[in-house]
Amino acid sequence: MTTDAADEDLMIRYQRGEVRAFEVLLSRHRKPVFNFILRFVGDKETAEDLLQEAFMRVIKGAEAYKRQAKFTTWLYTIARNLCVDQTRRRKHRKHASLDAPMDASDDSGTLLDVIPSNEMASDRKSVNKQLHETMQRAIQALGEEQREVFLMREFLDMPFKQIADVVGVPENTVKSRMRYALEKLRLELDEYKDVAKAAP
Amino acid sequence: MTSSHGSRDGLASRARPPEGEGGDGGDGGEFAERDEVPELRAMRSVWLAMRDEDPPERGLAELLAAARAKAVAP
Repeated sequence: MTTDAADEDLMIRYQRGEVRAFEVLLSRHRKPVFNFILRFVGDKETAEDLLQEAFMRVIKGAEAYKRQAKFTTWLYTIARNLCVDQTRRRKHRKHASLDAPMDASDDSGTLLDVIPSNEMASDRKSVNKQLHETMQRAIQALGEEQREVFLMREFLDMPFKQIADVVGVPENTVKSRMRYALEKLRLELDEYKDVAKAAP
Repeated sequence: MTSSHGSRDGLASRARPPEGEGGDGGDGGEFAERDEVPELRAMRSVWLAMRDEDPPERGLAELLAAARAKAVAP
């Protein structure tokens, strides 16, 4: 079997009993789905569990898959719904925000605390590491609706129409959420951006 | 392109063409308009450089076993 076969063809083959087709799908999508979930829920252990559950649902629901549907739309709808359910289950926990503790269970400080001053940002490597950590926290600080759109658009390169199909809202709503997400990220990263530029 | 997103191992956005070369994913002018804001382009470079993590090996065998079982007895 060629490994460059279309996802949809592979899924149909799996429906017909070709386990190898599912293995190709798994090798193709397991990592990006894992990173989507990880960035959505912000917790590695939870992401591992949800990743497993997502592909179990693909297996269990395989016969319900229709060739007309784009496989990634179906797959990320499953993954996204699991993430949404998970975040709703833990909704009693305080949302992360710039001025809220990053972890309700400790005194680790706020996002503002981890944004270093110019003096602290002494070299590019350090700046990059801190910038990525800041970025991850900024993603977590986005509202759920903005976060999912941002992740699918920027990390998975999904067209807005497909994101709309996954999320189940009109395309214009997706675009609006994306604008809000970018604006919030811009505000949260603004101070750090200058630091990164100034680093050697 | 039917297997676009995951097939590129989460690197789809990293492979996005530079602005001005049709990198708006066919979504019309709105996304391109966003790209024209220099500070947003700078921001994008931050998240596009974020490292993708490898998924755990744990659970893989269980998934494959479940897939085989399902294929045998759909």
